[in-house]
Amino acid sequence: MKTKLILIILFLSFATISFSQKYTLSGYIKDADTKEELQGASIIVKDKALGASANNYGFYSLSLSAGKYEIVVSFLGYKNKNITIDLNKNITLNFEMEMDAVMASEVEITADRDKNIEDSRMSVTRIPIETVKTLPAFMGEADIMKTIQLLPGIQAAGEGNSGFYVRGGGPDQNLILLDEATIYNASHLLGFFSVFNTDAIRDMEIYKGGMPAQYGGRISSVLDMSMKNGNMKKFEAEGGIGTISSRLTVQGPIIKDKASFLVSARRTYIDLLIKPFVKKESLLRSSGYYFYDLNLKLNYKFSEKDRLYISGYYGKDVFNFKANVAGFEMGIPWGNAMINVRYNRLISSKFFSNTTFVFSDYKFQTSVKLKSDGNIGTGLEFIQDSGIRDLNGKQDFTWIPSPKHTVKFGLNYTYHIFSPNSVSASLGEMNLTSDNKKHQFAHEGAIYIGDDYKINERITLYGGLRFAIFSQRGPFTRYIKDENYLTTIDSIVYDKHKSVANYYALEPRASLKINLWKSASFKASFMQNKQFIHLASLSASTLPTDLWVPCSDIVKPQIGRQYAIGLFQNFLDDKIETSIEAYYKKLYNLIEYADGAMPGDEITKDNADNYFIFGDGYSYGLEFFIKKRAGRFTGWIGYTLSWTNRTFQDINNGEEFPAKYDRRHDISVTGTYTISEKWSVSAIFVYATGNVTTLPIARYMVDGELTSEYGKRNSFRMDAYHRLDLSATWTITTKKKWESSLNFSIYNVYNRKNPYFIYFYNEGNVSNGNFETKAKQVSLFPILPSITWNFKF
Amino acid sequence: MKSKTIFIILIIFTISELIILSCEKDITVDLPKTEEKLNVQASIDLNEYPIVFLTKNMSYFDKADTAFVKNLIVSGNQAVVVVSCNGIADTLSPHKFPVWPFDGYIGSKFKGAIGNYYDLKINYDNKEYYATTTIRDTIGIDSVKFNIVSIRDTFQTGYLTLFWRNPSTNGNYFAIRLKSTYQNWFFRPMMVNVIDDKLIDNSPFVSCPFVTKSYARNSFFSRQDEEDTLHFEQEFLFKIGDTISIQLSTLDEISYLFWSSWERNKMTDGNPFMNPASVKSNIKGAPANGAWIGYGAFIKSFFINNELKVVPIDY
Repeated sequence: MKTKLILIILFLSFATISFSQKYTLSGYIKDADTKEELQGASIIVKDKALGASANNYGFYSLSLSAGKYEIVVSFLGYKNKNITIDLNKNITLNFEMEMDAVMASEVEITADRDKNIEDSRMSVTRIPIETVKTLPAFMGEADIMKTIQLLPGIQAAGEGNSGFYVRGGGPDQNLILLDEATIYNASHLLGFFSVFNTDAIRDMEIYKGGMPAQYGGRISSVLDMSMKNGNMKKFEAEGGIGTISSRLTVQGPIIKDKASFLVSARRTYIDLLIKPFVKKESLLRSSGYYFYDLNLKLNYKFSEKDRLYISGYYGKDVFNFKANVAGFEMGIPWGNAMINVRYNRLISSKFFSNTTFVFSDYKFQTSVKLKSDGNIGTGLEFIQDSGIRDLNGKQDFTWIPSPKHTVKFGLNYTYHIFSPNSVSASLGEMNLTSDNKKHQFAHEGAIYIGDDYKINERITLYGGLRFAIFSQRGPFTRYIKDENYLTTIDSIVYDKHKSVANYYALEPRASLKINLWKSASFKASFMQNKQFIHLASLSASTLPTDLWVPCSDIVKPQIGRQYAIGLFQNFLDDKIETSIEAYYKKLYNLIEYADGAMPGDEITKDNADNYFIFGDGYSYGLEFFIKKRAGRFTGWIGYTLSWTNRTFQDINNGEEFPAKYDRRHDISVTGTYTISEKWSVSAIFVYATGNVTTLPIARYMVDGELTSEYGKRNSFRMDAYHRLDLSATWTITTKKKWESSLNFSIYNVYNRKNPYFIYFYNEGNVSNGNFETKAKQVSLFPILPSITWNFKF
Repeated sequence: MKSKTIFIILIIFTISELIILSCEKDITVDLPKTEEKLNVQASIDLNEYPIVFLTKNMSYFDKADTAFVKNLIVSGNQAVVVVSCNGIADTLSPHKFPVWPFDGYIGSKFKGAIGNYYDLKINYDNKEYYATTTIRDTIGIDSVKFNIVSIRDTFQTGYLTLFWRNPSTNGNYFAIRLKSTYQNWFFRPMMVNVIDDKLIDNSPFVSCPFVTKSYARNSFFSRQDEEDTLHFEQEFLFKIGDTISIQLSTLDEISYLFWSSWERNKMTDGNPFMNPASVKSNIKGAPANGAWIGYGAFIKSFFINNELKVVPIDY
């Protein structure tokens, strides 16, 4: 029924597209200095409720009746451009926007200011990269992922946890795109840093719901990031030297105004810094951890209508452990690799095409070596791999037939290769494995269409439909287990290309915006979508060891259905934005590992999904947001009140339990104050209800050993998390050819001991009559000051 | 295999070394009231009478002294324990043992035999508990190797690798328990007690690569101060001159499930990176923990000689 309704809306909206004689003003909106496209820049016709936004590639198109128009082009942080045009034919006009040198002063940015009111999309936020860079950062390393977690509805997974949770969804339900390529593991060092080097990122946008039809494959959110293209005009370098890491980005023209490049690199060096302080006999002496990442971008402009982009990312975390005794060595590298090629073609002033090919790969490896002492049967080698590799091709079109309609449609195909666990091992001369290369292969395809239809000056409606298909194919062997899931009793072998499981999804999305009065609007959205891949986690935390697994003959697609409504009101001539959003989200076919499952249980004659159990969940909540966006003082307050629960037949005897994402209150306060051209200060305060956890409630003896008996899943809530961070930036020089600044940050200013986990320890003994068990709470980071020197030339 | 677990442990270790040490504090945890359960630790070994120990569970934060612990033990006429096999019912007699809980029950009518099924029935506090187990064919130990871990001036320490022939059928489960110079009377489990043949299905041999001393793990009865704790090598590894009795037992699937889930329970206990694993009991009836297990036990003793060879001792 809902699907039919969406189809009718789509039909009606197309039917209203006017084909009367109109002319089109189109082109690109760019940064005057670097020639970077300004995604989301606005172009409006003054005194008329007509306008358009630049797409991901900076392209805009505005079709109007013949006549004279006063046009205003604006983008946050740039000076407005005003121009009068006489539109009596199709005109191509590129705009080059100049940075506003004094951001803090009262500048006229009227066209952009009420975007949150006028935009038909809801639950979407764009944070300028400059904002990310001005906020206090952990160890001085500005971090996009950490900044988005300060928005209402987006929760940090917590210190020591990678990933983030959006409106009660799991970390695997977030589609993270870098230049349209999927990034499967977005964190370094268990989530302390993200894989995204802010110097290399141009723009980012996050959808918490109501995602347009061009996005698919995840049911909770989309984080869409674009890398800088590289300066077309001049060579430029920027970087920073920090307490534990440094970074450098170099960009410039290959052929001026035609081709450019960007190379960005970052590495931590805590492993090198700490080595002199570690005792020779310490196990840490020959051990270490570091991460690095490398971004690359090339782009070439064949003509004003054709452009080619090549983007690449390669990042790795490496953990080494070498024991002085027994010849024990362990290496654990994990990371992402991605390369993509995109071709933009401006087919006409109203028709934009983008063709993309992506290769992306995420791999986690563990290798263990125990040297042989020369005797038979000694010497152990063990290598375990898991990961996911995608080959993706897609074709996207944007058609802007009139200022009332922006139609996007296209198709998408991905070939997935999953490696849930692949093992090779030997003990001495004995090969310990027989069947371990258990890749799983799948095809995923989708077609979509969506129209942003401005019905009148007050009402805008977005309708979209996406049809997706997923097919797991052979070669594959399904191992069938006995009732205790211990012994394999049978198997089904699927030959190469033979169908193992097929799933389809019809995914309607809709959103509605109604202007209530000046600077106020009401919005509503609905979306339903399916996710054909799951992230299986054995841990109460989110770790890089978690397995990406496809839908199969026993694992069904995750289904997400979300309803949201919101009120948006701006004050003080749009200097202050406020919003209240309410949402309800239902989730089906979620997975968890069965009680007692361990990593590697499935490595031979078995399948990872044999150890899964299945359940449903729901989440609902209210999000409040107030933001001051202009002036010397900028910042926001976000508050979320939410409930998130899960029900699994095989957990808690089928009783509902709070998900690990359940957090009743979540508050974020950020503020930046520009004192002078030389000095600015900023602060972050966060408060979150404590995480839930499962604790033992009783114990008994087995073979003389105390054995724990656990209570209900997630039935205990730890203390609340709160923290204040401060930072100050001193701009040392701002000469045209050389800029440098020092950033002083203090993380956890009042040294709050936030709970990370709880453990128990015993004191005394029975013989002495004083046996007692006590609980200890472990916290990760105390107060941590850091200094980073940033430069640009 | 367990490498991810090792990784997780190492990560914790590294983070601990760098950051955590100064960030701990005692807290009070308010836990819900504990449901009283009977804990059954019952076994029948090949050629041995059945032995049953019964204890009660305790709240997690219960303070314990000898009187408290004594009160946990179910003994004498408090329970009626019956083991049946092939139509013969043996009511077990209260008996004193030299290991905790000291009071238990022992049979007298029949000993464990390969292929037989044994039904256990317990009546305690007007509640009934029951379970069934069997004894599978025994497997002999093929060879044992000594692996040196470190060389010191005074002694050399190491662990053992144990080999035995892999049965041709699928789904074989083994338990390895030890008695050594230091641990007499009962065979006790090591850190990893049970093993299956899943990994080595096509190999003629099964091996347990890391055989260490029995797991002397917790401090319930006689905790030593931290500074007195034995070094890892002395606590877990063997040295020249040690005499070790190894019991290699075959298990049925349910018994294996109990022990493997118990090991997982110990591994995940207090580990913030793992979901806790509950122990899978095979005791049915009223709420209970524990298991009733038949061991197809093969026992052989060994001596580590001066040439670092593990030599069988023929009694």
